[in-house]
Amino acid sequence: MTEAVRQPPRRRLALWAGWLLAMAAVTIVLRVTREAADLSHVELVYLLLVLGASATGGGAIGVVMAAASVACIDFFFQEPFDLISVDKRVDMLVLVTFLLTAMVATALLTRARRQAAEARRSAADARRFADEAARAEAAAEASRLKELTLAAMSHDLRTPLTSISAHAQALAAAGDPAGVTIAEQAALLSRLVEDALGFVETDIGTQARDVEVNTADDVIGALVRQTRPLLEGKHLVVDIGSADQPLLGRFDFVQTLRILTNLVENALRYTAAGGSADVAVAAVGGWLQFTVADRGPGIAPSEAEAVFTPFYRGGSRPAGRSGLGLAVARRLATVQGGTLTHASRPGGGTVFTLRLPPAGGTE
Amino acid sequence: MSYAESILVIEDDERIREIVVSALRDVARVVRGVATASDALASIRAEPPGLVVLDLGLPDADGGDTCRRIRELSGAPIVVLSARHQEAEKVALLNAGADDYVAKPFSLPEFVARVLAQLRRANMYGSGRPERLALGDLVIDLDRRTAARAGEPIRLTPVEWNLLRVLAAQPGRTFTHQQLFHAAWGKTYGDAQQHLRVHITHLRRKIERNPADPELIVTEPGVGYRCEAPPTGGHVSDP
Repeated sequence: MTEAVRQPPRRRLALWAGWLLAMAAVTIVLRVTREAADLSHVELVYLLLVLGASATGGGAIGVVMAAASVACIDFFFQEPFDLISVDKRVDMLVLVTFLLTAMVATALLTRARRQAAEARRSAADARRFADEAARAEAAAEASRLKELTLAAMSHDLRTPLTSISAHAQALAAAGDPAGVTIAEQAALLSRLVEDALGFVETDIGTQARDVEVNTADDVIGALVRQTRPLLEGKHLVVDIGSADQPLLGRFDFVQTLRILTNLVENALRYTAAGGSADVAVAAVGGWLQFTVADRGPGIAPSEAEAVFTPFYRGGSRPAGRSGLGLAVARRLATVQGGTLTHASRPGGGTVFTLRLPPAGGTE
Repeated sequence: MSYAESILVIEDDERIREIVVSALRDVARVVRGVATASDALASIRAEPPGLVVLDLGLPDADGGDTCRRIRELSGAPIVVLSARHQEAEKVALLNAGADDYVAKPFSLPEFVARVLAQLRRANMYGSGRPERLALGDLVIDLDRRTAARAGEPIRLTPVEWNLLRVLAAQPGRTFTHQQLFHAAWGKTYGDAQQHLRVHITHLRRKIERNPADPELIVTEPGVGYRCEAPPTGGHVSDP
C-alpha cells in the first residue's frame, strides 16, 4: 500500500499497535457483556474499529483488522462460545456481510486517502510552480527595469549633447573658433557617454544577442567607416587577407564591431600623427582572429591584466578618457565565447588579439 | 537652391528642432517644425510635405505608431532621429516605413547629407523608373540586367544582381536584412537568410574599389545595408 509506505515507520508501528490494542480492549469489554449484547451490536462495534483503522492507517491495517474481527466474532460471540469450529450454528450471512462491508469501506477509505494525498501534492506543486513563476517574473521585471533606466539615461544624456554639438557645429561652420572647440569637446563627451552606456549594457546583457553567420570583410568595412572620424591625421592600415573566399564566422556583428572600434580607438591614442594603427584578420585553427596593433610604448607586464579592469588608468595614459574601452571589449569577447588578449609587438608597441569561435553550425 | 517644396520636422525638444529646421533651410523652400505627433499628422493632412524628419521621443505617441500613421497619409521619405540606439528599434522603424535612421547626437553635415540622399531618390522616382543607374563609375543597366565599372562588365550571380538592383534603385534608403532578403529572394528560405551577409560580401568584392572600405554599399550595424553613392549625371548635385 502506497500510503502505508509513505508514513514514517515509527508512526506506522504506533498505528498498528494502537488499533490492535483497541481491538483487544473492545473484545474484552464485549466478552464481559456478551450475554446482554446482540450479535448485530457486536458486529457494528467491530465495523467501527475497522473503519477507524482504515481511515487512519490505510488499507493493510483495515484488511488485517477485518480478518481479526471476523475471527473474534466467530470465536467469542457465536454459539457455542469460545470455540473455533466450522460446525458452529454460524450465521454465515452475517459474517460474509460484515467482511464485505469492512472490505468495501476499507477500499473506499484507502482511495479517498490517496486522492486527498494527491490533491495535497498537486496543491504543493502548484504553490511551488507559482513561487518559481513569481521569482522568474521578478527577475524579468528587474532586468526590464534596468533596461528602461538605461534607455531613459541614454536618452537624457544624448539629447542635450545633440543640442550642444549641433549648435557648436553651426558656429564652427560660421567660422567661430570657440564653436570648433565646443564641437570637439562635445564629440569627446559623446564617446565617453557611449563608453559608459556600453559598459552598463554589457553588465545587464550577459549573452551574445545576435550570433549569426557574418563575414570578416563586412565587420572590417564597418570598422573602417566608424573609426574614420577618430583618425585626426593618423592612418588605419587594414589587411583582410588575400583569399578568394571571404573569411566567415558566427558572431554578434554589433558586439564585435564595438570590440574592434574600442581596440582601434585605443591603438590610435598611442599612435603619433602621421603614424598608423594596423588591423588584420586571419583564420587560425578554425577560429576567426582579428589583430589590432600600435607602435605605442607597450604595456608593462605588471599592467598586463589591469588594462582590462574598468576605470584602470595606467601612468602613461593621456587624460580625457573613461578607462572603460578595453573592459567593455574584454567582456563582449568573453560573452561571445571568444578571447581578448594582448602581447608585445616585435619592434615596439602592442598587439591586441581577438579570437572568435569557429563558424560551425549552419556552414 | 532648394531640393524640396517643403519639409516637416517633428521634434519635441525646442532647441534641437530649431537647429534642425535652420540646417534644412537651404534644402527646402519651406521647413515647418512641430512638437507633437498629433500636430504632425494634422500638418501632413493640411499640406503634404516632400520629406519628414521624425524624432522618436515624442511625448504624445509611440515612434513606431507615428511612423506607420505618417506612412498611411504620405509617401514622402521619413528620416528618423533617435537618442535610443537599440538595433531592434531601428529595424522595427525601418520595417514600419521609415527610410533612414540617424542616431543622436548626430553630426549636422552627415544629417543634411542623409536628408539630401532621400530627396534625390524621391526626385528620381518622380521622373519614372530609370533604365540605367549610375553609382560613381559603376553603371547598372536595369533593362539588360548588366553592371559595368568604367566600361568593364562585371559578372554577377542572380542573387548578387538582385541585391545590387534593389539597393541601387533607392540610394540612401536603409534596408533591413529582412527587407533585402525578401526583395532579393522573394520569399523566406529559412537558413538562407543567414547568408545574405555572405552574398553582400561577394558583391562588394566585385563592385567596390576597396572591399575593406566600401563606399557603394554601406553596412548599418545590426540593422542592414544602404546604397550610399550619389547617382552621377542626375539633375541634382550637392550644394
